Amino acid sequence: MLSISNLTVKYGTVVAVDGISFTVKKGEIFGILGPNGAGKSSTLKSIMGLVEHSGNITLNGKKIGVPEKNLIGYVPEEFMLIDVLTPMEYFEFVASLRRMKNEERLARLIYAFELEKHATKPISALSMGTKQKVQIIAALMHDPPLLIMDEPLNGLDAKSSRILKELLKVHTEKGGAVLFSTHIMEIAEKLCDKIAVINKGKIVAEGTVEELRTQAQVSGDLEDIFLKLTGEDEYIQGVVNALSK
Amino acid sequence: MRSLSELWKISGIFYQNMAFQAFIDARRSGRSAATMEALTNRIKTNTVLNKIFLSMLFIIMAMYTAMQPSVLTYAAYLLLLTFLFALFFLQMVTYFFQIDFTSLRIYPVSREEEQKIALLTFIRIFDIPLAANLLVFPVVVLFSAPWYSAFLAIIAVLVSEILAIVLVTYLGKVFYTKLSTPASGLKGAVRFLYQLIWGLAFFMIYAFMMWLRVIYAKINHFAPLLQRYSLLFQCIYPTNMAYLIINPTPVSVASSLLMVLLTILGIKWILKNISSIKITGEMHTGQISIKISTPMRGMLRKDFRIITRSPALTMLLLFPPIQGLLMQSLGNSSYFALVMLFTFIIIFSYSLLGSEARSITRTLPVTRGFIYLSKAILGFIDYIIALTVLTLYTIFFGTGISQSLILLSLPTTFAVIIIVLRVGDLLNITKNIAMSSYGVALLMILGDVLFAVPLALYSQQYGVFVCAAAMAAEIIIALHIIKMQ
Ligand SMILES: Nc1ncnc2c1ncn2[C@@H]1O[C@H](COP(=O)(O)OP(=O)(O)O)[C@@H](O)[C@H]1O
Ligand SMILES: [Mg+2]
Repeated sequence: MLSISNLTVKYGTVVAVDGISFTVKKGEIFGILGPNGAGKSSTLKSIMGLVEHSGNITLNGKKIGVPEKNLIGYVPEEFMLIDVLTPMEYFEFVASLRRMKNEERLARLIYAFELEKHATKPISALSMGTKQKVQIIAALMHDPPLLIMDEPLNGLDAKSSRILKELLKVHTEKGGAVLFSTHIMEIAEKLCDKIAVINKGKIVAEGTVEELRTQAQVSGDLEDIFLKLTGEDEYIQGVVNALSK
Repeated sequence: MRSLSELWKISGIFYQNMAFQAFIDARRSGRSAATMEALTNRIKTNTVLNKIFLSMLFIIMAMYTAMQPSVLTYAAYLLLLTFLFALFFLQMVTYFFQIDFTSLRIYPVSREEEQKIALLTFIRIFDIPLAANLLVFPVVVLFSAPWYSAFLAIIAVLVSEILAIVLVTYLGKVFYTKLSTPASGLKGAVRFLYQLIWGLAFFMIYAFMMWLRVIYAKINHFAPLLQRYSLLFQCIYPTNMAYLIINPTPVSVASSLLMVLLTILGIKWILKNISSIKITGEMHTGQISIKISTPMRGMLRKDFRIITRSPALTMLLLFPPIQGLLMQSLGNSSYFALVMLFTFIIIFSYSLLGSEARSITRTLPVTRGFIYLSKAILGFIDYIIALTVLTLYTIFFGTGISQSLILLSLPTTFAVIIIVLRVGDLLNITKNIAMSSYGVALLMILGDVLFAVPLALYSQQYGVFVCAAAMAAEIIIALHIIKMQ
């Protein structure tokens, strides 16, 4: 469904993403896993055309232009909301620009995430978690085939993150695809069909959890694999040694 | 119990924080190379410089007033003082209402001290200009009046300032509680106002002086009116205070006393309001109702909401009609008045585009052309509002703007706004200078030229054809831009 090849993102002289390639298939939850500053957000932003980049990005074989944006639901990492609007006014705006025809699904999402309680407050007065819910609903409302979520579980309470996870599963069962980023192993391990481990702008490993395990030649959980792959296991051992003295 | 100077110091921290917020909101937040320390220092000097600059404006105003002391000029001075004071501090007061002083409760600070700190922080917003006015105007009055007039002048200035503060406190609260914190989507607009006021400081001083000179020159036109309804004017602000200083009559003294009493009530009201700031965590479990409309309607509705909930944008919306009226009433030519008015239409439309800069819109299925179009529609509506106001003025006063010129300007206004928005966007994408005062000035000039040249051509030989050709060219370019992906 989504295919990325040789993507490079530069901020001045800083190379944030360094020629990475991967594909996200129908019915797949694809996780980008990496430490802070690895280039996850930059990758996702490139897909949405939010940052300058080079390389090829296609959705169903087409470059991502205006019509393709309606096939994507995007949850940015930093809030991209309109603070003076109430959540409902915000949804109204997004739904109108997406030319949505009926609000039934939207209403169901609002109740699912219990947002009707905050109907009349400006977004600026909402808590972090509630703001994140607003972003998630805005991305899900038009039931797009591809979901792109940048650290979507940030700030969500247990109940809401459970709802989101279930929604993502339903979404892929119906043939949709999900691309999301996280720096938390457990989430990637639990949710993803496929994981790309990314470090310093490069993909250092890619595959299912099992495949990653063989690549890293360690047994154990994803955290060990991850640290081994990013070459940070030795660094951490050093820090621990120093601190325990 | 902490001493006042200690509390003053603590309030300084809150004030700096507020200034920091305003500064950050006013700028493009990107990762800049400046260290935190350098940035903090810059903001500190900036806030002080801003206050000094503002005080200078007030001092210039007082000087003008001193040159022709009369009830009318004093009244004009007091009214302008109230108006400008309110205008300049509205933004900061809105920020003040966002401070959460309850954060002090994790420290050993009593509730009483907490309230004092809030009050001192509030005073810090106005400190230097407030004091400058209290000092300068009485001195100016002394040039032409006995010593006790200076004392009365202090009272008059104080009343005017408190009136202004009551006004901004009320508006600030309204803007705060009725939504609107100057936040992400609005940063573009806030930045603009900031640039307008401080970035174009020299331009502002120049415009301001021109403006004052004309106002004070024209003010004597009102003398017969003052004569005829003298008793009425002794009763109402600001003329009652002007009478009080120059020529105290029993009626003006009585009504001034009443004003002072009201001012004391005003101070009480302010105190009550700033000490009871709390984030109200009220819950509304309401029925949800959502109206999905067409993309353009959805966009316009959103922009309308942003405009009405943001002090900065509301003000930018009001500038064009005010500017037009001002130019017109000061006897400028229709042509000049229209061009000056249009300058503010450009600023208004471009701020709207700025509010879109880092918004979610870029991830939604709309074209760039669509976004320009939506902003140009609002700019054009503002233009029509300004023209309507000018036309009403013409109807009431018999003289005014030339209707044929208005009609002539209509075909291209829309096209020019679109072109300017596109150029501004290009500058911003490629060079990131559009938001600097240099970039803004450039766009203003470009817009004015594109707007003014066809109108000017009209009165030349073969003008109709040349004018039509120029307008057609602009319209074709604009249509091209609207079709952009
Ligand atoms: N707007 C920007 N300007 C300059 N550098 C940036 C910008 N955004 C990100 N970076 C840098 O690019 C790198 C990758 O950032 P990002 O994609 O946000 O990583 P992640 O999401 O994996 O934490 C980091 O080194 C970060 O400092
Ligand atoms: Mg990130």
